[in-house]
Amino acid sequence: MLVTVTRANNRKSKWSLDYNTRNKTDKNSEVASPPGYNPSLVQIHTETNKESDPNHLIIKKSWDLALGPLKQVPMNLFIMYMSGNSISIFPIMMVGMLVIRPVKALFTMQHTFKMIEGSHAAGQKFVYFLGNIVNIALALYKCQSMGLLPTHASDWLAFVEPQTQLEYSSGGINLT
Amino acid sequence: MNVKIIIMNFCVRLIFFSILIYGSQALYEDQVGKFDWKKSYVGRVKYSHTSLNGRDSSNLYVVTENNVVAALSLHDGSIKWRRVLELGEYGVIHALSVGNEVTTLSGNGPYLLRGWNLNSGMLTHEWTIPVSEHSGFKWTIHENNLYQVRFLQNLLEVTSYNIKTGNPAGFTSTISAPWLDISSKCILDEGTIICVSDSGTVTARGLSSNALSSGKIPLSEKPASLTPVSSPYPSALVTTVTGKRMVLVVSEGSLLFLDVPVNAVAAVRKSSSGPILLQASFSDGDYELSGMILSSKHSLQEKKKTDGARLPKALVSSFECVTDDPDLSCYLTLVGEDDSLILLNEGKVSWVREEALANIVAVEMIDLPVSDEEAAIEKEFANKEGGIVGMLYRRIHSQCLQVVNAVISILGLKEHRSESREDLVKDQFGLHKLIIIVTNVAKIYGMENDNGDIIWQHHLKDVNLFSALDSPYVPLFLQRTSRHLPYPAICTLLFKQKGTEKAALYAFNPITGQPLFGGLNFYDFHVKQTLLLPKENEEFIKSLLLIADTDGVEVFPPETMQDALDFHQDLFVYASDVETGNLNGFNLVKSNEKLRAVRVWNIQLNAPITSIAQKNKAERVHSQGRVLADRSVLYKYINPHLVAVATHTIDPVHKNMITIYLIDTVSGGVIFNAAHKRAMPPVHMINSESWVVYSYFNDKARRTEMISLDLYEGKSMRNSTEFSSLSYLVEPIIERQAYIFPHNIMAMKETITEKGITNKHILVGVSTGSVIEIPWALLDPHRSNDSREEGVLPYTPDLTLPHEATLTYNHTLPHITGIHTSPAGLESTSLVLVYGLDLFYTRVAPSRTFDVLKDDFEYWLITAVLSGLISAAYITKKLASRKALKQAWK
Repeated sequence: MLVTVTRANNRKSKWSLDYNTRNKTDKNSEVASPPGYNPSLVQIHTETNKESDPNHLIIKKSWDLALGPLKQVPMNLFIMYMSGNSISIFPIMMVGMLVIRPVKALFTMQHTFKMIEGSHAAGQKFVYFLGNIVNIALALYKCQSMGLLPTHASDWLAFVEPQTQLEYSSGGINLT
Repeated sequence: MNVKIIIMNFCVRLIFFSILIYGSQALYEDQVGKFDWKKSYVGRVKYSHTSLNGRDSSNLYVVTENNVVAALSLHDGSIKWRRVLELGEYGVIHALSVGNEVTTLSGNGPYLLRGWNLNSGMLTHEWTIPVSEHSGFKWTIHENNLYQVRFLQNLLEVTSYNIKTGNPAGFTSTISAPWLDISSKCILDEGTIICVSDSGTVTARGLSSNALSSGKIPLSEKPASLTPVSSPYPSALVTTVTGKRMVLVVSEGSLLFLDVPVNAVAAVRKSSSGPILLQASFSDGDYELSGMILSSKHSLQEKKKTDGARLPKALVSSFECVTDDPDLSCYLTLVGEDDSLILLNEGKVSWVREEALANIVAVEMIDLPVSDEEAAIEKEFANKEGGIVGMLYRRIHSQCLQVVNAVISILGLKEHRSESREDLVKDQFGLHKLIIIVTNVAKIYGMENDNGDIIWQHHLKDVNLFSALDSPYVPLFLQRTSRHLPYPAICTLLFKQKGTEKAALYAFNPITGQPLFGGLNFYDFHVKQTLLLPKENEEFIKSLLLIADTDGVEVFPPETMQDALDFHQDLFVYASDVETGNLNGFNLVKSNEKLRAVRVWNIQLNAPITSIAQKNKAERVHSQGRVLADRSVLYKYINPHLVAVATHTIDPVHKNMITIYLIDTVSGGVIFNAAHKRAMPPVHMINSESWVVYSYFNDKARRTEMISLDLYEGKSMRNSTEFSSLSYLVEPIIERQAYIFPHNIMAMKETITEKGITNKHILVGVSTGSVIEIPWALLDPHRSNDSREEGVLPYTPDLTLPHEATLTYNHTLPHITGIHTSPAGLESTSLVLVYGLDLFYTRVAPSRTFDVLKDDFEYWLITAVLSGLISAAYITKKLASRKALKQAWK
C-alpha cells in the first residue's frame, strides 16, 4: 500500500521535494530506473491484483485443494502400469501407498476443509471426496489385478470347517 | 529351439522341487541316533548250539523260525553276526550243525546247504539239492554228512551227501524196515533214526553204521509225539497221550530210559560216567537245575536254583557244559513259551532276549500321563467347588507340593520307586510316548519310545490270535486315553479263547501294564466284528461293542450299555469274508434294551480279497479342498466310511487280475472300481483323507506299480456342515495316475499329524531293508505336463527317489512287516515305528519342523549377541550423558 502511495507522489511532480522521513525502501525509488526496466509492467500486474477479491482467491485455492486427488489419478495410473502385477516388495509398497494415502486423506477431510468456507465449500468437499474415492478404486483395481483381493472361493478355504459325520461305521475282515 | 526351452524349463523345475521337497529330509551325520533307534532280533529260536572257546569267542549259534542264522555272544546275548535267509517257505531252516563252521540246510526244494564262518558269519560254501517230486523229507547232519530220509511203508529211502562238496557220498539206498509202519513216530537225531510204534516198541537205526537196536518203552500208554533233545547221543523225548514224558537215549547200542517231570526241560550230556540227564524244572518263574546219571539212575547232589527271576516256562532248551565232570557248571539255553531266549549259567540268569518282538502283530502309541505336579495343577483348575477359600487352599497346597518336591530333588532324597519310573511323563511337545506292542505269541509289551526300553511286559497264556489275510491279527482298542487323570487309561485287546475259539477280551492299563476289569474276560460266543463307539461317556470311556456271529451285541465294559443304546441307529458295521469276497453291512437295532445287528446290505465280489484298507479313525483333514489354477476350489470327497478293497482273480484270458473297489460301508454303495489286468499280489493300500494309493506287481512288465486315486466332490459342496452317506449319494470326481516304483514293497503307511495341517508323506518299506519317504506331491494324480497349477510337478511315469528320502539311512531292516505312525503333540511331527525282524523308531516332519527351533539353533550365540547389545546400549548411554555434561560446562 505504501509503495502505491509513493508512486502516486512521483507522478505528481518530478522536482517536488518530499520532506517526510523516508524509509529504506523508498530510497531506491529516487534512483533512476535501470535501462530496460518498464515500470508499467509492474503497474499492470498491480492493476490486476487490485481487482482480485480475497474471497475469490480463497475459492480458487480451495478448488486447487479439492481437485488435488483427481489430478493425481493419471500419475497413479502411470505408476500402476509401471509397477506390474507381480507380487514383490516394490509393487506391494506402491499399492500400499495408493491405498493408504486416499484413506488417510478421507479421514483428515474435516481438518483439511476447516479453514475453507464459502459458497463452493460443499461442492469442493464432494469433489475432494470423489477424487479420493477414485484413487481408492484405482488401488483396489490394482489389488484385484494382482490377485490380492479375497474374491474367490479359494481365499476362504482355510476357514471351511470339516463336515461332521452323521453315521459311524467300523468293521473289517471276519474275525476267524 | 522350443524343445530345448521345454527341457530347460523342466530341469529347472525339477531341481527346484527336489530342493523344496527333499532339502529338509536329509539327516546330518551328527543327528544319527538322535531321534531314532534300532533294535535287532533273531526270532523264535528253533535249534541252537553253544560253543565254548574262551570268554570272548564263546558263542551261541541259533537258527530261528524267522529264517535267521545268527551267532550270539554267550557273555551278554548281543548279536555277533546275523544272516537273514529267504522270506517264507524258501528260507525255512531244517537243520543246524556246528563244527569247523556253521552248516544250515534251508529251503523247500531246491534245498540249500550253506556253510558259514564261525566268527564272521561269512558264507563259505553253498550247494543245492535239486527239486525232487517227493516231499516230506527229514534231514540230519552227522559227521560231515547230510542225510536225507524219506519214510515209506516198511521202507526207508536214505541219501547222504558230503556237506562240503555236495557229492552224494553213496547213492540213494533203500533200507527195508519191517518195524516201520504208518502209526510210527520217528525222529532223526545224530545220524540215527529213532522210531516208536504205537505199541511202545522203540527201534533205533544208525544211518552210517547200520547198527540196529530195539527195546520196549517202559510205559503203558500210547506215545503221542517224539521231540528232539539236546544231546551228543541219539536221543528223543517221548510224550504219551496223557502227557507223561520220558527221555530215551541210545548209548553204545543200548537204549536207556528215564522219566522227565511235566514241568521240566531236559537235555543229555556226556560225562566220564556215561550219559547224564540234566533237567531244569520250572516252578513259579524259577528254574531248578538237577542232574542224574542215566545208567545208574544215581542223582547228582548239587542243585542250583534261580532266585526270583520271574522267567517264563520254557519249551526248548540246549545245554553245554564247561567240563566233562559230572557237575552242573553248564550253560543252559532256554526258549520260553513267550519266545524269549534265556541263558542260565550256574543257576543264574545271564541274559534274556525278548525274541517275541521279531513277530509284532499290533502296535499303538499312547500319550504318557502328566507328572504328579502338573496333575495337581490340573486338578486345581478343574475343580471349581469350594469358593475362593477352597481354591486358595488348593493353590497353596499344590505350591507347597512343588516346593517340597523341588527341595527333595535338590537334596537327592527322592527314593526310587521300582514300580513306575519318575521320568515316564508327558513332555511339552508330546513326543514322549509309550509304545504298546502285541506279538504273535500273545505277549504284550510297553516300550518307551525314546530309547526302546521295555517298561512292562505281560504274556497271555490261554488265548489264540485271530488271523486275517494269512497273518495273525489282534484288534487293539484304546477305550480311554491317559489324559483323564485320575482315571487310568484303558486299552483292550480281543483274542480267541484257546480251544473253544470264543471271544476273549483283555483290558489293561497301557501305562503300567496292570490288568483292568479282572484282566481276561471270556465270552460265550464267537465274535464276528467289533465297533468302538466314537463318543466318550461321562467317565471318558469309549464303549466297545462285540458283534457275535449270532448277531447279538455285547458291550464292554457292560455298564456303558446305555451309551450304545443312545445312538444305535447311527452305528454301522461291515464284515468281509476273505475267501468268497462277500461283504455284509449291518445296522444296530434296539430290542428289549438289547442291541442286535441287522443286515442292511450285501456285496458279492466273487473273488478272494487280498487287501482291505480303511481310514484311520484318528485322522483329521484340515484343508477341505484343492485350489485350482483359476482360483476356484475343488472340494475333497472326504468320506470317513470309505473302504478300499482289492481282489485277486485268476482269469483264463488275462491271467492274473487285480480289482480295486471303493465301497461306502454305511450305504453299501460301490463308489469306484478299477481292474488291472496281468497284475498280481501283493497289494498294499493306503486309504487316507480324500485319496487312495495302492501298489501291485505288474506281471507283464515285471515291476511294481503304484496307483493313486484322488476323489473330489466337485466345485461346490452339497452340504458343507454334515456328511451323511445315506441322505444323498455323491458321485465323486476321481482322478488317477499310475507310477512305476523301483522296489518291491513290503509295507506302506501314511504319516499322520495332530491337526492334519502338515502335508502327508507315504512311508514305504522295501525288500532291500530300507524305508523310503515319498511326498504325496510325487504321487498326486494331478501331475501332468500341461498343468498350470502351482506346486504340481510334471508327470513322469517312474518315481525318482533320491537317497536322502531313505528314512533308515544306512540301516537295513530285514523282512519289514509293518509301519506304524502316530501323531506327536507338535503339529509338524509324526512318530514312526517300523517293525519286522528289527524294530526301528524315528520321527518325521513332512513339512519340516515349522513349529520348533532347529536342534542346531545357536542359543549361546543369540544370548551373547543380545546381552552384548544391551550392555553396549547402556554403556553408550552413560558415555553420551557424560559427554553432554562436559559439553554443557564448556
